[in-house]
Amino acid sequence: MNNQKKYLIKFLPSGKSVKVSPDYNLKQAILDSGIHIDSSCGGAGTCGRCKVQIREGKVNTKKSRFISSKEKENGYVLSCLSKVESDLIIEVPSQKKAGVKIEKGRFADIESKIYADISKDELSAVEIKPWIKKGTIVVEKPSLSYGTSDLFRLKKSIRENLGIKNCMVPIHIIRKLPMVLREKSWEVTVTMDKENSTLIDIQPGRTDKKSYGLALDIGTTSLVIYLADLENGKIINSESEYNPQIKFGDDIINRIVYANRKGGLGKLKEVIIDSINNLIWRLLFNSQVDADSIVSMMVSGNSTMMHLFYGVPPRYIREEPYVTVANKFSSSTAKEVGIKHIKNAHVYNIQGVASYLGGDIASGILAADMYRKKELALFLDLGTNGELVVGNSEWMMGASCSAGPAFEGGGVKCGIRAVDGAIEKISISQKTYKCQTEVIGGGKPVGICGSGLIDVIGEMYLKGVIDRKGKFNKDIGNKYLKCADDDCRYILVEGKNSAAGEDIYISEVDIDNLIRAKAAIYAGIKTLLEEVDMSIYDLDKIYIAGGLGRHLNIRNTVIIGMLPDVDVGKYFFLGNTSVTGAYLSLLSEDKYRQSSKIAEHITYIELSVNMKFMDRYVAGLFLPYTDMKDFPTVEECLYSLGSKIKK
Amino acid sequence: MSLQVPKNTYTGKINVVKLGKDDTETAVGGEAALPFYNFEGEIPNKPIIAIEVYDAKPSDWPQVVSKYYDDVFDDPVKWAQKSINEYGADAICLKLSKINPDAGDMSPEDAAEITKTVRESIGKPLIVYGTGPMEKIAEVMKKISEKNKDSNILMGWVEEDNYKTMAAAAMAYNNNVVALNPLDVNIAKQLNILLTNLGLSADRVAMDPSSSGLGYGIEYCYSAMERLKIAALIQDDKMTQMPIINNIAPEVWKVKEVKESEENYPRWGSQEERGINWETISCMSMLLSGTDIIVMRHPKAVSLIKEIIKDLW
Repeated sequence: MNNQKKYLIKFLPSGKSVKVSPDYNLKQAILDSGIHIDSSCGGAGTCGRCKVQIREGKVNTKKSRFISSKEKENGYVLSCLSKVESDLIIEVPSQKKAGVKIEKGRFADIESKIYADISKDELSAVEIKPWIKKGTIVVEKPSLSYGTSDLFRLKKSIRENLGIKNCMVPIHIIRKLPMVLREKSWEVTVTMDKENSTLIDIQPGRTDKKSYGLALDIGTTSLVIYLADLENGKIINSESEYNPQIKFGDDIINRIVYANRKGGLGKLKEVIIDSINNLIWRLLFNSQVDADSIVSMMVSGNSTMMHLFYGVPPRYIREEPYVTVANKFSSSTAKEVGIKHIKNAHVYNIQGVASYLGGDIASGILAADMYRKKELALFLDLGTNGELVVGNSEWMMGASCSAGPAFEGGGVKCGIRAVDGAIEKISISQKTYKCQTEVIGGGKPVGICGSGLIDVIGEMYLKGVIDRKGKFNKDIGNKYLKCADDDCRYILVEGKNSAAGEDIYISEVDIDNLIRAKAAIYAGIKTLLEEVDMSIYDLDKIYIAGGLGRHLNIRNTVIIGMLPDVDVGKYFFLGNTSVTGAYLSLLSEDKYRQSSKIAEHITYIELSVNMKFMDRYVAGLFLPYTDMKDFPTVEECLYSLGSKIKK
Repeated sequence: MSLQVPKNTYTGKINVVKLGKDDTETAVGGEAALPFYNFEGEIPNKPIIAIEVYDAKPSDWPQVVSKYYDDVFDDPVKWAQKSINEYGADAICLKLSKINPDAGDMSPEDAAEITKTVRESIGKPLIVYGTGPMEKIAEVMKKISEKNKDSNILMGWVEEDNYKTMAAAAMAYNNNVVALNPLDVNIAKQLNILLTNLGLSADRVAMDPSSSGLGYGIEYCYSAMERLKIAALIQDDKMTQMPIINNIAPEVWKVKEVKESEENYPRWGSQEERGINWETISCMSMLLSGTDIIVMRHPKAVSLIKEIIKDLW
């Protein structure tokens, strides 16, 4: 029956191969073979990143604006738009792949003073009291006159000693119960999940075996995990990794689209769980911690990521009226969600607010300590989506402004995440228009990360390399500006000085994407504040979260009109607050409960249907903003720079 | 008790743009109140009507309008003169269709020559529009401006892709430009900022908000134009104080409701009457929205609109 013809596809330079049926999608074949290929649009043919070269054989491909006529002659096609029609030999261009050192949260690296120390003392102020409770108890011995079951007497003892009623005991524990109870003459150490009154682990006698927990942030772009000692709160180790789902789409919308396809949800869940397993394995290996001693894991992430992590269809997040299946998923054992190594640990997640305002934001508010303070603050997470919350201890309002992944390197040709090799700081010489760069890790540059991109736009604008619309000024004698046909590129680092030997540049299309992203963020801030009848000047503090790079230059974010023109002293850059909040929740029962309260506390506003948001977005497609009155200090700065800008 | 008419006060004023030189000089703009609110502020200049003239016979005009120009299609000078002398145009809007690379790719020099000849023969202000890619338009306008130095012609169009060349062309030879925006207040402002930042004086710019004709979203055009005028007059926003020009004729004469004959749609009635009404109502709506210059086609619609302007101002 299954004698349908198959074609053999061989991939260069890896030498991998795969057999597929006729008319099979070429990009899917590449993914099937295990080769990484970028595709920010998820296979819709709109990003042009999955370009490959057909060396031998035939495909049925569609026209694309990303393939020039010369490339077409040389056999280049977009793999997502191509169907296999014969045996093939395909050259898959090597993708920019930087190291996997992703920014970790504030507490992971306190010494390097990466982040503003707004609550340096906070960690010491956190009462380390996880809801994972450990205790040594003595269970009553049975006798002929007191012949109740082992389980009954265990539960009784737990109730009397630890104050937990109706404790649930899973079957895998009951299985070993008779031996464990009798091994050290009825003395046992139990580990309890107080939240769910469930027994997690039981050990014979009094053990001083330590308990550990994991705090995990599942970002659209990256994963960060901490291993923490649950007794003293110390972070033993941390690991990070790209979110492997990126190859199915850069942003959450494309992931949801992929999840709707046949088998898509399963695939997305599978790859994320694989990656998490891998991270946990690395953590355990590097820290020599016994897998059994990990008793809990706290997960934080946006609503879509949480749906995919738990294998819940995210479809309705994307369809009007945009609802989640759940904002908080019931806690379960690691085994139930598919996590290996630490099968019996309990997995919890931080409660989200709405479809586009997830647990990562509640976690961030927790980390920023905004919910306990009277002062009016704005919390801004510049992740792939761009979420914001305004408020204080009494009220909070939140919104999402779909800024897109530009500041995480998406949609920008030479953009990368804040990893080793990323240019994180840039200045431009007013005389020669040559760029000075600083690179994370100090080596040769691979690409530009968020903070570097913000610097580029700000500097180009101030030095007159681009006009207020983001178009290059071609008549200023900038010899680093290379134009061919309609395509102009400003060379930031020449090929001879870059890691890959190719120019690192920024084009008008890149600038356009960045300007769109910054316009969405500022429009979001202004519109959200107006909803509560406030202005930017009412804000006491502005917290910035996200993995843009350590040296985010706040002044440049103001110059490009992304963040409000207020005293720079009001800004605090916090890095990855999602993992910080997860970590705090892991350590403290109070914090965990608080995170749920925060989520319930935030009123969500839908900006996508707000006319004023759209109006401001268009006004923001200009540097810094159409109406200069919003940016008085930028205007002053331009005046002092004189006529150069006006050119 | 007598009725007290409530009055708004305005802080801003529309710029006065001068079209033409010496005896052809005509001022547009300058109003200090919303359209028809002449009891609230001074409206010194009435809106003017420009009639379209092309450099070649248009292929897509319905007979009910082309019949008025049949004898002059081959000569833009005669066409312009007829529009002024017989149909009462206040200005001429010369449309250079042949400069489009797809329709002859006429050289800037030739285009400039035609423009000059028309301007010198009409004794009224001249508006000149290009067709085709924005870069080509800018290249042509540069030459036109040079050949028509110091004559305050109004040249279109400016977009973000060609604003530098267009501004330079206007500044160097003392002419005016039309900044085109897609019915968006912010984009209109952005373009005006870019132009004036280059040093072009604000009173050398008119705005075209790309309005459509009746039945094709004219309500939204009204709203966009009203917002521009409100920002200019009430908020005194300097970057929206440019007079507005509406190139409405081609929008009206391309729609099905005007192009279909009575034969095909007997219930729609006379095609000519329908076309005149369609153009008149569209233009009237633009007047209500605050236009300062209106580009028209059918002589009878022109005469109706002239009457309305005379009655209401």
